[in-house]
Amino acid sequence: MKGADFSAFSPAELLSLEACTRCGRCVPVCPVAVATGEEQSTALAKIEQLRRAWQRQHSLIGRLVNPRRPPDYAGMERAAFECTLCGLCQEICPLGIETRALWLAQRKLLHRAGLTPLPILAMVQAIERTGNVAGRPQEERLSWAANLSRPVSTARDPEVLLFGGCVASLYPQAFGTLQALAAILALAGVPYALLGENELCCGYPLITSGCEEPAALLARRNMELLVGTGAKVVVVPCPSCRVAFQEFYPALLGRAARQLTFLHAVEYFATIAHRLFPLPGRVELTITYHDPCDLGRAGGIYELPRRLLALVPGIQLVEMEPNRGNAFCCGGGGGVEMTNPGLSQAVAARRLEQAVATGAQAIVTACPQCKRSLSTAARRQRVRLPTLDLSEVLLQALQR
Amino acid sequence: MERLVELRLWLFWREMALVALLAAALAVRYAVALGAGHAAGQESRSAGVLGVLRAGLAFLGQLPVLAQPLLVEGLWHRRLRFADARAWMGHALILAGFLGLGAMSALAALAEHVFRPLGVFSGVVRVALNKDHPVMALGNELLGVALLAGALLRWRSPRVRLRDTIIPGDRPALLLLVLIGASGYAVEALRLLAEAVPLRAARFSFFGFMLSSLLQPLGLNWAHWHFLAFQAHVLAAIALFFYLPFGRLTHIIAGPIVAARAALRARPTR
Ligand code: SF4
Ligand code: SF4
Repeated sequence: MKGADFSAFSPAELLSLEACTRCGRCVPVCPVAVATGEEQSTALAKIEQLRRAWQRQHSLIGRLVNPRRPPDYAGMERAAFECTLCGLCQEICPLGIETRALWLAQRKLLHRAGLTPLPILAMVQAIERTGNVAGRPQEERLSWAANLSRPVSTARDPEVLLFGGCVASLYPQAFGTLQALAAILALAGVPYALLGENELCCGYPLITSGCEEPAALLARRNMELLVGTGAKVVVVPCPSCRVAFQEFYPALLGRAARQLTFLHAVEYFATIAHRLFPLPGRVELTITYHDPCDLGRAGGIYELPRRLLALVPGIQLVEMEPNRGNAFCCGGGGGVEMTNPGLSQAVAARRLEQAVATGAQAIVTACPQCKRSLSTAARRQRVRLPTLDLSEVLLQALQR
Repeated sequence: MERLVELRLWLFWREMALVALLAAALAVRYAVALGAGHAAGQESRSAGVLGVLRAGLAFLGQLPVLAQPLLVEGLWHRRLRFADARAWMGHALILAGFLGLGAMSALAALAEHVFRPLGVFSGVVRVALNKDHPVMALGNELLGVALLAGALLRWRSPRVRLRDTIIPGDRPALLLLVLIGASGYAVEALRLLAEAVPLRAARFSFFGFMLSSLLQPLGLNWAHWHFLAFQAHVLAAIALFFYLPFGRLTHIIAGPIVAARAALRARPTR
């Protein structure tokens, strides 16, 4: 019997399975456990499961006692894919175990064993077939730009390339993010270009599903397209695209991935602050800021968006509890929306409760997927609390 | 008495050599297991073992840079200190007791087998080989107290109960730690009796001395009992060592490395 394929785990990651002290600190904070009371997806449970499987296969005792025992995948698939990859467990772990890397390796292991859940496989096939996560015709990638008062730029010698990403380009709830971002670039006089219908999924959903081969193909094609535009800076509204470009592409493509600078919109706003501030208008709004997991915990960006918001006249920021490194997830990550929509909604509902408790009039975030999740949660709960992208707030103050 | 001392040392060094050999074999086996796990499914298994060797070498190469996070995160447990002061205290006491006692034994061994034959560091030799010297006696007593207090603090650390899995606490490990500490005091008390150490010299081994005062009326063959207690002490230490891979204690080796690596890789936030 062939064992489970642990080659997706680096030696350091295998060692970290042994390093876990089973202190359990990661259990009560895990959004999945908080929202549902289920603990099989918490870091402690998953590490225990992986460690036992690994030991059974590779430890001296395991091999002596039962060398032919088949790998035990029971429950692993559900646990692995009902995790939002929010990284809160990593933040809370007293040892700083890099749990996110463990979960990605675990998903790779399951993919190689043919245990990727069907909804995830359907999404992978959709990306392979159409080039986007929504499985829609690529011509729709510019739907967000239809009927704009200011046409999108097609600069021949662009200063930046605006990479829309699948969520902001193809899901109407998030169109406002890209529309605002494009308008800000135009108002700031930044010549930018778009890939339009040639833009492909950045590969993040593939990598986080454990499907590395198609992700590498996409990464290569995207890099060729991006480099071909002549732009040196690529601006993305989506923190997950940023993680893909900054973290995953170098691992997949090596030095080729370092030809361009990839920045999230909030990072780019900081670099063109002299062209944006002081802002002419006011936005009279009490807001609360939701830290997207991939921008905060994965990207280390907590204060920058808050500093930008503080520069908008009229904005009052009230913090949610928890915030920054301990911020609760919106439920929209890790593919949970596909594998267990109810769980994704339950997590989003929790975050929404925390936002409502602040008394804010709007949630501001910097991620199109968080915007979708929280807007949907508000609609389902019949709560009047809109979720705006930081770009939309900035644009309001720029236009008045 | 002389023959028993000789036999005790003869046994001790052979036990230590055996433990060292087995430990080396286990370490190699562990590296091979990591490598095999890493390489399974790849073209060659040797690639995995080479991967582990490379990772190990890279780790050694980074030691100067890792030294600070290794100390701060791995040994001082900075993150744990913020997360749970009680758990941190338990850890700190066990670690200080265990490492401190180990260091004192290593110093005595060095003095006996290296410094004295070479005729160097005569001051250190004089102190390290005199178990009744205030530094050695007080040091051993206090470090033993730290070890026991730490183990007792951790004794109450609850097992973690998840819905589908119960992750047991590691009481066998704590029990072995308590056994090591307690047998250490017994060894000291019986040594004081066997060597008939006068009160003036014995008073710094306060627990050992108190215990010896309690035992004295029994009028046993103290040299024999000292020999047996010493064997029990060494066996408890060896048992703890071999229990390591089977309980939660593996983290004392893997944890500091992982924590130091994580601290090194952490990026500043903005
Ligand atoms: S990444 Fe988030 S959802 Fe997944 S186990 Fe960790 S805390 Fe739970
Ligand atoms: S917080 Fe870290 S060490 Fe504690 S159980 Fe969770 S993963 Fe293990």
